[in-house]
Amino acid sequence: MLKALFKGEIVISLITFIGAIYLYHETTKFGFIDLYGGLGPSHWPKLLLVLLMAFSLGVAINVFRKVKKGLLPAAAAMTLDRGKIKLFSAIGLIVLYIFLMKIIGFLVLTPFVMIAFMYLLGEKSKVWIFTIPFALTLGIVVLFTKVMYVPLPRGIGIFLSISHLLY
Amino acid sequence: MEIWLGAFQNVFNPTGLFLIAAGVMMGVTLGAIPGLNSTMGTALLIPFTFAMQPTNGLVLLSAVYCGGTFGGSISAILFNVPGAPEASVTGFDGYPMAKAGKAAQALGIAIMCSCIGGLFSVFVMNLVSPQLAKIGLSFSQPEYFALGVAALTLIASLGGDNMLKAFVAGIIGLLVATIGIDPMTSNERFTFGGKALIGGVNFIPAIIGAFAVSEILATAEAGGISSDIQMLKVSTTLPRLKELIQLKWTIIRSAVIGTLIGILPGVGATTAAFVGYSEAVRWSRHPEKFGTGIPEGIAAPETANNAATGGAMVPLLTLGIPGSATTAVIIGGFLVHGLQPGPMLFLNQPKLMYSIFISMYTANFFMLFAGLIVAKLFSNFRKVRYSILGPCIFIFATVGAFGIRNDLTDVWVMFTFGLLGYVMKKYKYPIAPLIIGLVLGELTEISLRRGLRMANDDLADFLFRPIGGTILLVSVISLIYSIYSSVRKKPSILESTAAPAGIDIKGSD
Repeated sequence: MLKALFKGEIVISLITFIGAIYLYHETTKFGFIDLYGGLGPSHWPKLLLVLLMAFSLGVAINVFRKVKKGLLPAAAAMTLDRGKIKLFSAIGLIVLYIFLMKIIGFLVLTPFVMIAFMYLLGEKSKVWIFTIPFALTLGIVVLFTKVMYVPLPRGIGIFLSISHLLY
Repeated sequence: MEIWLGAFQNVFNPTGLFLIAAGVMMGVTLGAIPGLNSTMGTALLIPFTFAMQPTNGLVLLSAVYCGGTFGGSISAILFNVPGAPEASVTGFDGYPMAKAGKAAQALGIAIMCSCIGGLFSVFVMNLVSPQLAKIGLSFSQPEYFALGVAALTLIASLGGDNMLKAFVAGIIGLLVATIGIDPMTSNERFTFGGKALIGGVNFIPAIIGAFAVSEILATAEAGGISSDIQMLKVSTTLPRLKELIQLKWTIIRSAVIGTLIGILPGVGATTAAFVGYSEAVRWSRHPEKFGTGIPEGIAAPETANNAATGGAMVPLLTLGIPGSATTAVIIGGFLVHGLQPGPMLFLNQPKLMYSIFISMYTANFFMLFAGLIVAKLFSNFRKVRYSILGPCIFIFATVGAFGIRNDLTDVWVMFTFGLLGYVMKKYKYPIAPLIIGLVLGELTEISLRRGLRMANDDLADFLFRPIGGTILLVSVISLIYSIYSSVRKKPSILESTAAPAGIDIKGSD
């Protein structure tokens, strides 16, 4: 029974349920002066959260019953295989990219992130790895800053100076 | 007759035809690139139109509008990244169809149906603009709410065996749509005291993240091996007459829906695409096949969203009220020439009005060629290895998300939805309901609240209105039928879209 409880969908449903309870509590802080009646800012979210609690419990119970009946396999052990390492690396790379963009700037940071991403996805050709990131970054900078007037992040300090060479 | 001849002369000259062709090409290309859209394109062109003759300037803007509405479907079909919000529904069936090696067919259907939808709405606009404008004005909050509900019932129709999970996803989407400042009371909702979420969650980065970034993460986990090897050879094949005849009811219904929805101020091609798709599912003999890659799943949203372009021009030209975001920008095109769109413009400048109609007819024809060219160009990218293509898509997605409000918050939203999309795919939660809830959430909630205010909190008023009540009744019956069908254990139709085919996502734990 314990293995059934640790089934992914059940865990997610319980997380969703708990999250919905927390958000329901948050709706009590919205504040509303009921002068003329009618639905306030919290009524619709509250309705949705109650439905979310109900449906997520429904999913959990449904999956639990299917596991008990043998229609679905029970929870398998979590393993840190090569795929998961690549997944977490990709997530880490994206987080780092977005976080550093304000500091280093789009022009300087993007080629290196692209190179790292290409290696992560298994690209082997060094020609493509070291040409496409720079070419694409340049193309995007020209298109979005000169034509579409989108002010891509320039970074700070020396990175700002480098970015100013182009935009 | 004299006016029509003058209008033909205005449009069918080298300058006019060049501007239409250039406008359509620009619109299709902008629409195909995630993060760019026809609204941006028309906004950029407004200053340039100042130096042109009024007719030429407005002809150019209309052409960009027509092309841009279609363009988003190219990247939605080829890369599962909708280039524009109105194309997000096209990807539900377009991408699975492309993965099955039928990208040429999918693109061809999208191009042809967009052309037909656009031509239909311009024809209707031409004939009955003032009458259509009256219908648009008769729509009030209860009718908008009914439209929102009609589109939301799509969640149940698509749910199948995963109906509970579909509802969970849809409700999460509706909840995310409440984040930010409440439009009616200005209360902050779910901002957690910070400034980042005060502006709410824009659905464009959410869509880009849920589809594109989640796929990149899943492919990274699979070792960089994409399931799209069948797409190495891609061209575009326009559907034959026989295929179009098979789709005739879907096309006609979606064209009418798109035109009518386009007329409604504030509701544009995106809602038209969702409602068009929803109705196609509702009236289909095989609703369980939607989401697996069928022609109707592309024909419906593409016809509807392009039909909305002509519809959106109706209130603009007859009343001076924009029917969509892009037509709101096009008002600027009128104003730079000292023109005020509205009923007086029809009386004072009839040749200009008819020139716009003729240019939109022409633009929809040109879209056939522009669509083929741009689709061919983009489809060449499909031959590129995912280890190169994936990072390129990611960077474009990032810039596209950033460019909406020039705010890194939107990029974080894209990443968050990318993670959410990955988890949902892994545990077989359908993503489409999440997007449906996110796109339609605000419209549904605000129209409900305003409608209740108008009716002194009497919900029965919603049901007794002829248009709104009918739409609600049909929607509720459809919802009950979908739930009943699911309880009788009809096959799921979203299982194939809940996880990318061919990618070995190990286990569901």
